[in-house]
Amino acid sequence: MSPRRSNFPARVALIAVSIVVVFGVLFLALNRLGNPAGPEPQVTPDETLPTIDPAAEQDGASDPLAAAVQTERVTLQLFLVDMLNQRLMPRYRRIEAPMTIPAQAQAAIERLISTREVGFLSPLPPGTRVREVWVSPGGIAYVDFDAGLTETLAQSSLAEIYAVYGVIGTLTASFPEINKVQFLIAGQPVDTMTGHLDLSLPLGPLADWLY
Amino acid sequence: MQSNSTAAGTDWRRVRVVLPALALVVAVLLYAVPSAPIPPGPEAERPPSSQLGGIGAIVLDPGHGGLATGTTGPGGISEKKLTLDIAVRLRELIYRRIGLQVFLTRESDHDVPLDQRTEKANNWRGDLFISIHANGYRLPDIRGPETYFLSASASDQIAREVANSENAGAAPTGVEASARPPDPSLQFILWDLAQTQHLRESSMLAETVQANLNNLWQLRDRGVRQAPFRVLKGATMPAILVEVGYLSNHQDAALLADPFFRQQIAEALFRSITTFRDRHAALVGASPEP
Ligand SMILES: [Zn+2]
Repeated sequence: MSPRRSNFPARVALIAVSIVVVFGVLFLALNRLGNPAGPEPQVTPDETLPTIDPAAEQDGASDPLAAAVQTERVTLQLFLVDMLNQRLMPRYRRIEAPMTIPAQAQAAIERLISTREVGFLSPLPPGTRVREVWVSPGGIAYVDFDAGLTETLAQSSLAEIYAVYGVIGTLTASFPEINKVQFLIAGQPVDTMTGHLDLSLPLGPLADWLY
Repeated sequence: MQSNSTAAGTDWRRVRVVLPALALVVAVLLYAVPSAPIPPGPEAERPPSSQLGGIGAIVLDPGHGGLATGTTGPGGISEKKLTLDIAVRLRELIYRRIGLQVFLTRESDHDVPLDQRTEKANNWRGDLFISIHANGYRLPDIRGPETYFLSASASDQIAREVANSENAGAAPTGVEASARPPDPSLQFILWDLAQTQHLRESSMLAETVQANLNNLWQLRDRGVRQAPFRVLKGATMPAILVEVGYLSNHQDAALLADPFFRQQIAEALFRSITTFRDRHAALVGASPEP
């Protein structure tokens, strides 16, 4: 039995493996050509959407721990619609809020909805409910509104622009930890709220609409 | 020797099994490659057109439709009807006066999803995309026309997301990654980037349209602005969105209810298209229509 003969099956296997590898590489290369953005990105654990804990949605007053939550005074810049200049303008407010950024961000948006000032309008319809806010380590605030917002928000582009950039302006100007906002409705990402703006990606402040 | 030849025979039988298997793998791979996401609007589908100044086909997008009424004004006037009316008037003008191809993303009172509108425009190989809307707001004093093109920061942001995701091996955001099916992720990024290369032309078209509409209204200019309008994002052509006044304002609503004024809006948009075509022709070095 010559060494040559005894290697034959191994060589066949080697050739087969080589062909598979070559085609595999070819496939990946062609796929990459088709996708200039590169291979499909992987999800890092810290950027995944946190699940909403139903218990966390219950009224904090009944929670014995809630009374022990420490608070601090926070200065907010609420972006309200200036009725005279017809643009979003920052208005300063000081509030007492829990010492976490998501809780403060939620308090800021709730204040944005409820605040009253002569000559200014809230960019969000009265009665809008914020279900939850959380902030990723990358600085994206996920703001989850109640489904009612899609019904109460006027179906025009200006109403959507004011609502979206009012929230973005408020959160990014009030919290250095936040640089973008991802809008959610009833826990789900949305493509748009009134059929105008693209809300499928997190949005940052836009100079055309703030100040 | 006998045993060796038997071994070789066995090997060749294995090869006969392996080769068809390999062929199958190759076939699967070759089949899978064309299914990789491709940018919207294949070149091959461009219909022959006069291509005067590089503008041969125009896509008009009447906003909303069906249950999506859009904004409404006094006397039951609705954005969806207004936008279709103006689009049809404008189509007539373009057809009759310069004979360019005109496509409407909807011809009747039904809603078309935003991405489908852009997809249609890309498949028709439009050279210009004009989305027509009417605005409204709680402040009844706000009035006048506005013209938008896609916000550069929105497209810059997407480009950065792509770069970040490539560098960090992470998805653009957790939400997309978790809430969308994984496969089209790159396709939607390409889709989002489609308009980026046309922003300069879109801006030029927007300025022309806004100037012509301002002539009609004779009000303080509300200006050309940028915003991340979804219907503009995937367009592989210069694309703008026009808000032809505010239905929440009594004067604008009265004007928009008047068919003569709507015809004037169509005329203003028509003039903008021909002006843009001539400027575009000068830029690309083609000779405009005499
Ligand atoms: Zn609209």
